[in-house]
Amino acid sequence: MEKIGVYIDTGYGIGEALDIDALKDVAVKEYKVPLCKTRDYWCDEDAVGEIKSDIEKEGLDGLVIAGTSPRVHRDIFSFEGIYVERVNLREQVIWCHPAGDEDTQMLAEDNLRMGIARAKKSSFKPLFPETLDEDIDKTILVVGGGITGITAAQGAADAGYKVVLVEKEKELGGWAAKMYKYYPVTSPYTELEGPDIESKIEAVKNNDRIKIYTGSRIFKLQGAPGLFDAYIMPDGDWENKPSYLVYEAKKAALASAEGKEDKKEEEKPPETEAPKEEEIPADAFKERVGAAVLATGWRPDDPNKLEFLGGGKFKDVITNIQMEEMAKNGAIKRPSDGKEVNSVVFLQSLRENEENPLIYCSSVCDMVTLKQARYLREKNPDAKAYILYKNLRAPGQFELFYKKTQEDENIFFSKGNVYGVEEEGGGLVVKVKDSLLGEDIKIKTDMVVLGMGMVPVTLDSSVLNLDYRQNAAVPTNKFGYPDSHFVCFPYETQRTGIYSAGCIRQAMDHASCIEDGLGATLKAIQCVELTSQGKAVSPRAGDTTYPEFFMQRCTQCKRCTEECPFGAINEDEKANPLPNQTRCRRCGICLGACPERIISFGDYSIEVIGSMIKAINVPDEFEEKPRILLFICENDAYPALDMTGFHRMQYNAWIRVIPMRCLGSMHLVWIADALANGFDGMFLMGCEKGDDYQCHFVKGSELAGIRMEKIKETLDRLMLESERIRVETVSIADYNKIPEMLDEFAEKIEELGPNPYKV
Amino acid sequence: MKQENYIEPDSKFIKNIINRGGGTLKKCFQCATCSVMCKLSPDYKPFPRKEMIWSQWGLKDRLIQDPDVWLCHQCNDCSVNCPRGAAPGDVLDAVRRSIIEYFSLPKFLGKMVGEPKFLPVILTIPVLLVLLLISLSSQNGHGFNIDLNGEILFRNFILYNCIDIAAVILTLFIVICYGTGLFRFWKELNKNPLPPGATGVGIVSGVIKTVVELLTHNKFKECEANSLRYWAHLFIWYGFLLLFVATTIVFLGIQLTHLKHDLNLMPPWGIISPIKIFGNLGAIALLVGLILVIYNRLTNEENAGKATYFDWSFIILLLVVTITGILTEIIRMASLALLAYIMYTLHLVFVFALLLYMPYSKFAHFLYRFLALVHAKVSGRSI
Repeated sequence: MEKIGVYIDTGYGIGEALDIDALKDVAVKEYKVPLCKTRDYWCDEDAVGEIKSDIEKEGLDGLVIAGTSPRVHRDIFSFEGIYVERVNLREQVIWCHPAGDEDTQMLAEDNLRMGIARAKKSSFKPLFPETLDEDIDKTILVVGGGITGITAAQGAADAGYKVVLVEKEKELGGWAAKMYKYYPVTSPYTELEGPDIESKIEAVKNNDRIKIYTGSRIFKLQGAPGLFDAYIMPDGDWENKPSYLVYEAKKAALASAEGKEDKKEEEKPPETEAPKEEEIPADAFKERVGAAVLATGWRPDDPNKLEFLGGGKFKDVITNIQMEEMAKNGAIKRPSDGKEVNSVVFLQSLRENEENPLIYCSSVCDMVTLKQARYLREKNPDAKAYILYKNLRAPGQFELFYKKTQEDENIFFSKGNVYGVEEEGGGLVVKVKDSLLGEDIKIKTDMVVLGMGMVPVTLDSSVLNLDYRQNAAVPTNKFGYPDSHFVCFPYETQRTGIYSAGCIRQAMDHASCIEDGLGATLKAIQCVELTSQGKAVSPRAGDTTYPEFFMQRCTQCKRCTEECPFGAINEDEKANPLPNQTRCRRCGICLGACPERIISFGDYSIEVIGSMIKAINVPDEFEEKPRILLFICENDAYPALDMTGFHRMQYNAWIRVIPMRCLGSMHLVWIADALANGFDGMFLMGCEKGDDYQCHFVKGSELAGIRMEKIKETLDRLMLESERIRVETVSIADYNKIPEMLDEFAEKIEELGPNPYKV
Repeated sequence: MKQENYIEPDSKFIKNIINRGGGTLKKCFQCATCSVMCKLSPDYKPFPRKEMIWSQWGLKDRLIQDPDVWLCHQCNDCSVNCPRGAAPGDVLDAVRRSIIEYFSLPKFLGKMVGEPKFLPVILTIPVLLVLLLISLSSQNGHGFNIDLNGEILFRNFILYNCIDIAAVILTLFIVICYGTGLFRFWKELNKNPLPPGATGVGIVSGVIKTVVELLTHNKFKECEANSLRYWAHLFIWYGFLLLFVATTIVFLGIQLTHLKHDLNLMPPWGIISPIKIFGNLGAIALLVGLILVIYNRLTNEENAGKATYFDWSFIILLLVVTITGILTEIIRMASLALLAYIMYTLHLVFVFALLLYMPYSKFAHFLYRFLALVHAKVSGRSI
């Protein structure tokens, strides 16, 4: 920015702990800023007024506000069209370092230097949506017309948005319409409830804002949030073509992987591609939509896996789905001879064999069993119901339903290992080991009901056939659930503008599906609204910056297009990256990936961060004050470090903190910069990675880990100690571990001695 | 080798337990807190967890053969600590009652004693019996040969012979009916396979150990939630024992006197005679015990367990027997002749009721438990 005003807060005890005049000298004498003011509490209303009048009078275009953490008062220090840089003097300086100490003062001054340097280098031009030549469409596409999809469509329509609802079956309603009864979701949670979906289907059908395609699927979805084009096709032969459905590809991949020892090969998602432009049939319907809710739900797991329990072998061994159908159609009768059923054994927590539980087994299935046992008893007062389980889960209020069901004297519960079902004397015999009865038992029964798990259809179907460079399917975890930081960001997928809801997120009952449908709709609405304002969606909601590609220097290495966790960047035929502005989450992982350093944000680029590194005053080796650079992820690690301050925990004052958009946006050149500038150690702190990752951008901390391993190798080659670089992952609750981590690293660095490049 | 057993829940038996005070049994979810809390439960296959699921599943055969049901003294530590309100103490009580009913002979008496609606019939039988005795006594020329102004002599009102003959017949009835039930019960108990590594004792030693246990009530003492019951049951037990001994001696005395007239061991005895002191002490102990039981049941319902008709009918019958007995004695000594004879008649009615229904009422638990305890000691289940 051209003209910067520096505001130093002396409140919160900052004035007492630090030499404010010396701090002011840094701004005025070192950086020659035209304006530098100090006072207590710049967040006060009159103080903010003063800043505003300064902006007008002095013509400031950038502010550096030194005081509280950037995580607080964000709304107060926000001025239209003005770049604001916050320097953390409270949480990360005076709250965790001794007052009046020389090292504390040096830290505060360095923080101010970094802030001013960054503000000077940053540019502030909202590139977007001015550069966007098309209008952002706010229509919400809902895929799947079950209870989740219907709720989502209705919710979006109620909020005033146009909706396109696509359902593959001839009628709306999905599984919810096929149920005989629901287990209770209203107080007192003890009695069965009737299906109530009909009125909801009618409401959706009669809503002018909702356009419905039944018996149809998405042939292809191309574009980006606000600019999606959905090609919708009536069902037909096309849906079985292997190129359109991941299913075939996955089957082929599994078949070829069979017998191979290398399991990684097996886990790799199959590469799929959306149909090409010219393949789109003329009779496909085209709809322009802004965001999509993916609510394609589930299918029951395959009972043939359970042959030892008679699954697919005996007529009277049925799935819970068949049971539900039978109940809906009237009396519960034995499939083999049509006789009335007087006893049913319900099998829960199923496993293919001792080692392999069926992974889609869930509390929903357990609750369905309780429900089915109840209506069996209602329909036939003499019937006996046996419920055999490994775990019987009735979460929350459902405990009340379980308790009520338990009271029925003809419903029998036992934990146990069911190891066989056999036909005997015109009926079935269920064999159970380790039952709660303290012995191995056999139960004679008329019928066996297998509690089959709910498999998300996204496990083996691409559903949307996305025209994305990375894959036609929405990325899923290994169980087939689309996810993007499951714990913190429900509904989100790794494809911006596409939100998952209902049973493709986890096994759910209809009440949870309703909640989920609404939740995902709100996310979709948020997306189209923020997109139309040129802002990022969560986790950097409201961010107006955007990565710029300096294409002249691009070498078509494809690293950005491959590593973007959100598949935001497509490629042209020559492998040039084609950024899709509205797909971008602004994580900067492409920046960290680009070996040519051609990707940059206005306030976050090779140069901007580099200038911060250079701004830090590194004492020479004789002063015996080592310097450690802490590259810290803004999402969890930075708040955790602030919390260390809240708790007044002390840590080494040699550490200088540079926040990263994501650890994945960490560019290796910064490490080189830091070494060249005499830093003795580099500490990278990001989110948990792996299966239970907490990285807000899914792959960022993992990528950082890989990149750092490589740079460590380089350091070793240069005979520089690779211990000078450390990567640690923390969760937000780990604030109490951070001081120990940092102190221990500082000790290690002291042991290693000064960086040989130090001047 | 573990054997697999076909399981066939008996719905009727489950209903039976539920109707007999075990209405909470279905609430059990097998966490085994009860077995952990129970001080009397052995380490190997502890109760009452397994009894709870057997009851839930209506596995009658297993419960009937199970000596553990009788190792429980219903102190209710389990019920008080049950996180689900399944009250294993109450359920075991109901199971014991169902077992007593199962072994009762004749069956209909077992059923009638347990149900309030048959109370009039149940009471009529001893009334008729006493009336029969009175009329028999009078037909003999001696009956109603009472002098309302003279010494009160019950033997003139109802001949001792009559009572004794009735008592003998009653005893035979009890021995046959109760004995058959007990014999079948013993057979069922012995179908139980011995636990591995059982270190049981011989049968004689088992009986002796059980008697010692009865005399000391040491198992009762371990109870926490319902500790008052130790004292209550101890008083009742010793009161009963004293009265039983006293009555037997009096009976023998009468018989001896009949044989050798010069012995003159005929009642009434003087108030300071040892036999009288014995009896009166017994009566007081019984009364104190009963008052404690009733007080505990009324004020400490949560810990004392659910009191059913089966419990109350026995407590009240015992109380009425005790009170009428004491009153008869007091009124007799106060020389209120008419009142004394009436009270004596009432006392006899209730005493007969007590004895007649011994194999079917809660009274029956005495020997069932005794056998189960002996079995437990012989099989090493409880030492």
